[in-house]
Amino acid sequence: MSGTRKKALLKVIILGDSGVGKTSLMNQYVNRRFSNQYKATIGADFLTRDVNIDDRTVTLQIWDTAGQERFQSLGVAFYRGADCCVLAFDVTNAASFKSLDSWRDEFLIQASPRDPDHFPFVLLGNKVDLESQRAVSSKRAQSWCQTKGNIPYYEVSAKEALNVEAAFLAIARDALARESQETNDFPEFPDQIRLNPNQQNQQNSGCNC
Amino acid sequence: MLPYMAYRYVKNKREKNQREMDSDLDSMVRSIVPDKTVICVPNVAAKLGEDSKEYIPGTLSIVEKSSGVFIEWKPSEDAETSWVMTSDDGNTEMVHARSPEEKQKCGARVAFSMDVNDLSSFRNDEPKRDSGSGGFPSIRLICRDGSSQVPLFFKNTTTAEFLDRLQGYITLRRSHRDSHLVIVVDQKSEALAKSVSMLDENGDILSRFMQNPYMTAMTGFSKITSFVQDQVIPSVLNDTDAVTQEEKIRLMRELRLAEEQMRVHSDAAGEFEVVTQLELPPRPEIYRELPVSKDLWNSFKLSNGSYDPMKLHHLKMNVFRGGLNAELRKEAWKCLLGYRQWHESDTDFQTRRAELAKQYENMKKQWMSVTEDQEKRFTKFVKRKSLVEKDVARTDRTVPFFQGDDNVNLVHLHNVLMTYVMYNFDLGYVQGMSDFASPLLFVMKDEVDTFWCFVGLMELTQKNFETDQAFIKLQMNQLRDLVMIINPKLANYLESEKSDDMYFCFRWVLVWFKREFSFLDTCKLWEVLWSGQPCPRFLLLICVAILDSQTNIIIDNQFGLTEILKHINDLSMHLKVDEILTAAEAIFHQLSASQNKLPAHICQYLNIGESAVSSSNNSPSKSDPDRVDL
Ligand SMILES: Nc1nc2c(ncn2[C@@H]2O[C@H](COP(=O)(O)OP(=O)(O)OP(=O)(O)O)[C@@H](O)[C@H]2O)c(=O)[nH]1
Ligand SMILES: [Mg+2]
Repeated sequence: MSGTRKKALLKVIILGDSGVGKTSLMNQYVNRRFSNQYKATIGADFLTRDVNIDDRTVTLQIWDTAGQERFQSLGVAFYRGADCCVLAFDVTNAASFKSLDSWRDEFLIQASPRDPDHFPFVLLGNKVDLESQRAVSSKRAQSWCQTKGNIPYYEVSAKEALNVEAAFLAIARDALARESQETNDFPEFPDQIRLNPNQQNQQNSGCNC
Repeated sequence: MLPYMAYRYVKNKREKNQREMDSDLDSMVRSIVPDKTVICVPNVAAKLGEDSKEYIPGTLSIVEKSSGVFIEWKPSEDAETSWVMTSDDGNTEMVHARSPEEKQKCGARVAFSMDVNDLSSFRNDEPKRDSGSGGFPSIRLICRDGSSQVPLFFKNTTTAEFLDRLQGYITLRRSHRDSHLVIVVDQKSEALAKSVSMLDENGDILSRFMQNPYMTAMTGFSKITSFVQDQVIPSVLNDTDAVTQEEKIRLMRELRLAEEQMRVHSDAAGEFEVVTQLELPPRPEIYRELPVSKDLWNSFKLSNGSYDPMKLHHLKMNVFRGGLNAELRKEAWKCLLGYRQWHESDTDFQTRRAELAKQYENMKKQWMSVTEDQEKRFTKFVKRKSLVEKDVARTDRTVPFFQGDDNVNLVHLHNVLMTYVMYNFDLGYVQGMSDFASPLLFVMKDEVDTFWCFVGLMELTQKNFETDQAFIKLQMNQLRDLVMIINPKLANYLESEKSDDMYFCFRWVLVWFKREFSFLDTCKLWEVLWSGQPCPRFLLLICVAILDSQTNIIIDNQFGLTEILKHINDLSMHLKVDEILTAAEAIFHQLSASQNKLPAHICQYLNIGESAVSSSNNSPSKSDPDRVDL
């Protein structure tokens, strides 16, 4: 029987202009389905999916919010505690690409992560199935990512389920890596020494008395 | 700080070791032990939505796997066996006639497999004779993250055997507050820990009260409840000297919170349970009436087709009590939305309508004649246009009226919304507007009529869409105040979970429950609201009624900010419109009977009591207090 072992929970927020396909991406990833009957998102909601990463089960909690700016101020309480922020734009819509900066800034202000310079972002360029209508080249998206501290970039299609699985797996890995990195901020020391920081201090700096 | 880091380091390391051991064990076990189904209950059907008469048949089972114990529901292979409950509404246009493939799809969509450890509680309803539940026992599983599975109906058996089996893995306890709610009890008794930490968190309030001699004296009593209720609150409320209403309500909330702390405290010790109330009278029993029929409606008309001004209030009360027959909506909505005036004769309205049709065509031409070249230098227009296009494609597409790719109704909807952009370019198009427009088009089946009804409806709702969102925030605050009065226990709980911004009700308030009810139930709910009876902001009382009904689920599951939002979102399509309307009306009567005890600002926005200017004969738009400060 299973014990009560706690699964790690990773909170992922998807942001981007209205209509870029945030809801479709989330549903494609969680329910493996695309439908053109989804409604415009009002408010906020999330879906979860368990993934196995290196033999470890992790629950991804994926948050989807409305894209229209005027509703943003209300949902910010849910940005807090995010482990990763997914920025999405529509490759057939240049305006949605131009908004990325403000989405990123807004997130950093609202979520106020401890270490904003190293907070994990991922960029998704959606709707690549509409190649003939492309308005933002892959190169352009990549160079934007470079200026933001080498954010990983994925070209995806929620409709054709292209790259969605891979992108979210990478998102989960990123967020998880960040988490364990945080805990690895400490070098390995024998437990009993670490447990008593004063004693350790004394050892390092010689005599204090 | 350092000891804490050291602590985390050790903790992480332990957990990591544990994980490694577990996963080794897992993969070892996984390869040897096959899944074992310990119970399999056939003929357990999923109900897709509250108004749906259709049940998807399937099988409920408990399966032991190497990775844990799972509760699973799968639709039956054979979709033909789907059973349909007697259909009572005649609106054939709206009844979803699903093909076997579609049923299969729906079944697959709601199928689930969940770890028993993720189960937080479930609702268990036993059949009541002549109830809407179809006469079968049902359960609805609620997960720890706040999400709910579809309700499952046991067609051939009781739920007993299934629940017995389930108890082999987890401990279940019926909520002492609500016998329909069964909670998974956490042996580690997190409940106790939580209430203690809650006490800690709110220590400042508590200590402030302790400094107050008045309060300190009171804490000497073990049961302070009745004292607070009878003496302190009225004295706070009646003391009008320079204390603003806001301060009063804040003070009242703090009093209740402090009191609740003690209650939780004693509750945990198992001593007593008190539920505090601002001595509201009991909720009266309310019955819904039949929808207004064409004959009844016509009986309110004079010979020239206008409505008898003496009977107008009566007419509106009828609409409030029962809604309208579907066939009547086309005519009646025009009046309720102020497109046709009550005092207008048939001929006068026809003349005016012709004029309005011209205006509509003119405004429609304005946007239709914008060329591609013009658009290059007309960003504001292009932005609005693209929002409209994206939303029209995503509005009610599951409803037959809007189904299919080349559906002409999508063009009409687009035209109405684009013309509204020209009519009110400053507001433009905001998401949620298409939700308001689509039922109007469905009922009117005509662009001009839809447009002018939409203009009327936007008069009532456009403040929801303004850029600063101040009106939404105002309504959220008012809602919180109302919950405080009607259900202080819930209000305090929401506050302790930092959910008292009521954001989880945003969708309800923004589009007037459009996303929470089926298309037809939405029509009914809206016409009830448009009647303007029995008070302005009846929408907020509906919110209170729903929240009130969820109190035990929210508190007994110990839902936090995230889980509350999820739980509320998942109520969508599983709410009973008539039940909620009667509860909301009963709450209204409770409030209006206690008007002299209520803070004045609440009386004011509900338009009850002395501050109320009797305005029941006005159209809803005119009796709405927001109108005044527009
Ligand atoms: N061709 C194509 N269309 C897509 C794709 N993803 C989404 N769409 C369509 O784009 C429109 C918007 O998709 P949504 O997922 O609702 O967009 P959103 O970002 O959630 O929008 P908001 O909820 O308004 O913020 C819908 O009509 C989808 O059908 C894709 O990968 N390819
Ligand atoms: Mg969306």
